[in-house]
Order: sequence, then structure tokens, then C-alpha cells
Amino acid sequence: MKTRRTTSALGILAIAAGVVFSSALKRAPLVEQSLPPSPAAPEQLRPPVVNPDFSPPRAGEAQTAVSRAFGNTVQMERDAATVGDFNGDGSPDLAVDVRAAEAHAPEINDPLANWTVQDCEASTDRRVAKALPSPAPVHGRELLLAVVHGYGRRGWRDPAAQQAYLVKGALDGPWVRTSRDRYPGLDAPARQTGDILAGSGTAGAIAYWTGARYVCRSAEAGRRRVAARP
Amino acid sequence: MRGLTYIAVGTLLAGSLLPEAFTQAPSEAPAAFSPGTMTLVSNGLVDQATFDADRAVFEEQEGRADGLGPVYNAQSCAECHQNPVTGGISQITELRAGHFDGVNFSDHTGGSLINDRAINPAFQERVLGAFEVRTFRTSLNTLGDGFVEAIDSNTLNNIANNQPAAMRGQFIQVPVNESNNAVRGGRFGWKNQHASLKSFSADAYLNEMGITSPLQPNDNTSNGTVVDDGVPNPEDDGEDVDIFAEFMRSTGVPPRDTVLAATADAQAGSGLFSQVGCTTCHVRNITTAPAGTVINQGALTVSAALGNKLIHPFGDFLLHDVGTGDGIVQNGGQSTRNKVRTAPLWGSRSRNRLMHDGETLTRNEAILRHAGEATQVINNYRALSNTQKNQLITFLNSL
Repeated sequence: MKTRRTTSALGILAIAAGVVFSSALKRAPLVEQSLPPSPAAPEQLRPPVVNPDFSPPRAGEAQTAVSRAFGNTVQMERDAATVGDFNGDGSPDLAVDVRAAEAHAPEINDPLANWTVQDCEASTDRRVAKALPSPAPVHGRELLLAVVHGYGRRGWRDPAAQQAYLVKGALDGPWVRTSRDRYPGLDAPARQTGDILAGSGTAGAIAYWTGARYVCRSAEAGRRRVAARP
Repeated sequence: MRGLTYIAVGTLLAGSLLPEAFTQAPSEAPAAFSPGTMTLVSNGLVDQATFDADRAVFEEQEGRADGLGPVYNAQSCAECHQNPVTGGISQITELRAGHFDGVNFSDHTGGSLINDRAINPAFQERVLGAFEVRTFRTSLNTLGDGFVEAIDSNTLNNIANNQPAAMRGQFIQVPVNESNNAVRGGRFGWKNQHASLKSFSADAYLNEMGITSPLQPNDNTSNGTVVDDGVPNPEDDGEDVDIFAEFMRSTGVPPRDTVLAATADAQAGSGLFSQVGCTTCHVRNITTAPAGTVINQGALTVSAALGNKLIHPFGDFLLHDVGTGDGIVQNGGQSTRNKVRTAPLWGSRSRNRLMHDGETLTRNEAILRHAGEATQVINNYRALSNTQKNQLITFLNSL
């Protein structure tokens, strides 16, 4: 009997000691463990897009992309589209003149639409006071520049490529892809590696992505050289 | 003999299991202010009187005699961190510029930050024409930043490791100035360029207000030209920097609009926010390190007020390329050029100019502006009905 009592007492003592010991361990100074300063993971170092497909659209492909992005709210103005990396992310984008379908203007202007309507003329290269107006509503039969931003290597052909813009006031189409190097006078806030859309109409306009919107400018102003860096 | 076995087993079990049972679940971090009174209250790190005194220093206007300039953006911390209360956000942006040669970004002459004000027109900084990378950056919320500082770097790294490879955030380590520039997981600023609030305070005091301190002892140049503001350096002996950091560490988290959050639409929107995948990066729940944890490379110990707290930042404090990058490199290396920190969405109901540059004005357009790593998630959003989109936006408006 005495032995059993002693054993029980010892057991209780042992449990108490275990708790105290373990708590003491837990209460040892906690130090945020340093992680080795390592380079970025491989997926962060590789180019965002590998071997992009910039081939021109085959018959019906542009229409498929336009329908995927805008449904039946717009119709292609002509059976021609331009491919380039207009937002500078390395993935091929599609630019095409479209006309707002007469009966679908309300859908185009829906504030919850799956695309963004921007006014090319309302933006300024200096992004000052006029930079952020709400564009006037698109009206039926209005001519618009539609741009579908690409996703990955397949770009605008990829079914996931659904980021799309309808640009009002870009009336100098059909548009041709050209290098940004030809326009050293452009302000290009971020995605300055993107291609430029050069109008082949009479206005001599260019359209380009600033990182947040498409803006239009005269090609002549864009070609104006700026001072070299000191 | 059997008794001794029981003793041994009991000891092991007690040692290994009981303390775990006693480990407390994290508690909710307190709110920064009551929506009724709009009065800032201390989170308990310091008493209310100290907190109010710290706030007054955070709001204090600096002048030329204090060392303002030679170039600067604002005269007080609260000028940019004020909405709806001191420490919050504002519409104010800063201007950054540099050059990209097709491979590497380089700073504008004198640094990528182009200050908008100067104490003398001769010192005014301007963007030089050939520095074609230009961007605005909105000022950020600082409420609740003490809890963010108290997140273990390993927690952030684990968040990144648990994200799908195509959406994996970039975890960078940046110098903690007060610890001889030893590195820690970055979490403050649009580029995660700071890991400690003291380093951040000293940086902002210098770069936004032109006031030097022991951690940042040299005044800024004017487009690379050394100019003198007439006050010997350091212009602050370090006390102000400490107070700014203490103020931010003592704030609660941005409170939600509880009335709106309780509506059926907001609750449905909350579910949709998770369902479409927004929470992959806009992480809903993070627990801070336990009280007593030594962080900032030895410079700070997590207090009881900040430790083991559950916060809902709706951000992962990691860098991502969602197609909106600003083209600027700071502490993260060239791979971060087009990446920005996931915007923590807590307190975002106080913001009306959205994304890093404030160029997007509606919630829907801000969502649609996400691309790159966020493409699949945003396509899930596109598939929602207008009713569901409105519910999701109602949820956002409750944050």
C-alpha cells in the first residue's frame, strides 16, 4: 500500500516536473528564424513568357478572340487584326477595329462589364488634370479600338486571355504594330517595352499602353527626341 | 517496475502534450478606432496618454528650422497618412522615375523618388526627359502595421510556398537599418522595401520630409546635386523616428463597416471573394508571432499587445506581377521591377483611387486591371453574374 502511494506521488511529481520543464523550454527566448537570403525562385527569374507566338491571326481566329472577350456586343469592322505586345508583358495581344452593335450599347456601357471602356483622347501624355475622366458612353455603331491582352505563350489565342479594352476615339485604324523605339518622345510610365499601335489612316496617330490605359498621341510628337541622360 | 514505467510514460506525455493544450488560441487584434467616435485608441502597447502624445508628433508640421528639405513631399507624416484618421491612407501620391535599358532598371539621377516640393525653387527636382519609366504611387495605410511587423518572416515565406506556382508571391529580404542592415522579410511599402517600422520611419522622414536622423544621416540631393538646407545633420536625434514607429506599433487594425459586413450581400460577397480565388493573395487570416519573439534581427521583441494576434489584412505581404507593375526596382532586385506588394485590403473602404498608382476609380475596373498571375482568378470573377459581382464589391466596400 505504502509502495503504491509512493509510486503515485512520484508519478504526480514527474508529471509536474514535465510540465515545468516543457514550459521552461517553451519560454526560452523565441527568435524569428532567419531565412537564408536567397535569389528569387526559378519561376520568378525566368522570362514571364517563353517563345511567344506572334504569328498573324488565321481566318476566324480574331473573331473568336473578339467574341470571347466582348460577346456579341461588337462586330469586327474589317477582317484584319494586328498582333503585338502592346502592354509589354511579353505575351502577344490582339488589336482590332470594332463597331459597337446597335442593340448592345447598354451592355457595353454596363459598369460591371467584363471589359474596360477608355477614352483615348481624354488621356494626356502628362497624365495631369484630364487623365482620369469617365468616358462618355459608347453609342450604337460607334467605331472603337478593341484590344485583347494575351496570356502566356499563346497570347490572345489562349482561352484565358480575357482582359480586354474598348478604346473610344482611336479612329486612325487600321492599326499597325510598330516598335516603341521609333517614338523616343513617349512618356511610358511602366510597361515601356510594349509595342506601339500606329494608325494607317490620315490622322497620323499612335496609340499605346501606359500601364493603366491606352492613350493616343500624334506620331510626330512621339518621334520628337528628348534630351539624353546626363 | 510497472510503476516506474507509468512514471516515465507520464513524464513524457506531460512534457509533450500538456503545454500544447495550454497554448492559447490567437485573439483578435483590436480595432484602431470606434466607428462611432472616430477616436484613435491604443492597442495596448502603450497607454492612451503616451499614444496620444505619439500621435501629436506624427501629426506635427515640420518647418525649415527643423530641417525640412532641401527637397520633400510633405511637412508631416499625417499629411499623407490621415484618412479617415491619423495613420490611415490618403489620395496623395509620390512620383518615381528611372530608366529601363531592356534588361535592367536604373534609378533616375539622384534616386527614383522625385520630390514634389523644395525649400528653394533652385532645389526643385524635375523628371529629366530621358528617364522614361515614370509612375505615381499612392500613400499607404499604416494602421495596424505593428501587427504586420510582428508577423514572423517564416509565416510570409510559408504563405508564398503554399501558393500555386503560377501565382507564387515573391518573398524578399531587406535590410533592417537599426540592426546593422541585417536582413528580414520585407513587408512595408509598395515594393516591400522595409521590414521594420523604425527603418520605414527613418526612410520616410528623410525621403518624404527631408529630415535626417541617425539611421538616415544624409540629406537628399536635388536631382543628384548636393544642396544645403542650412540645418546640420542629423536633424532629428532619433527621437522622432522612435516615436513615429511607436505610434504605428500602437495602432489597432482598420475596423470593418460592421453594419455593411452583416448584410446578406456582403456575406455572400465574402464567400465569392474566397470562391473565385482572391484569397490566394488577399489572405484573410494571419497570426502574429508569439509575444516574446525577438524580431527585426534582435532589435525588437514582440509585446503581449501585438503577439499571437489574429489579423485580417486581406493581403499576403508578398510581391506579385499582376500586370500592373510600376517598373521601379528598390530592394528586391531586377526580378521585382514589374511587381508590387499585394494591396492589403483592410481599410480600403477609405480609398477611392485604386491600385498602386491611384489611376483606377471603380472596384470593377480595379479587379479587371489585374492580369498576369491573377488571370485565372479574374476570369473566375468575369464568370460571375452582375448580382454576384455586386455582392463581391459590397464585401470589398465593407473592409
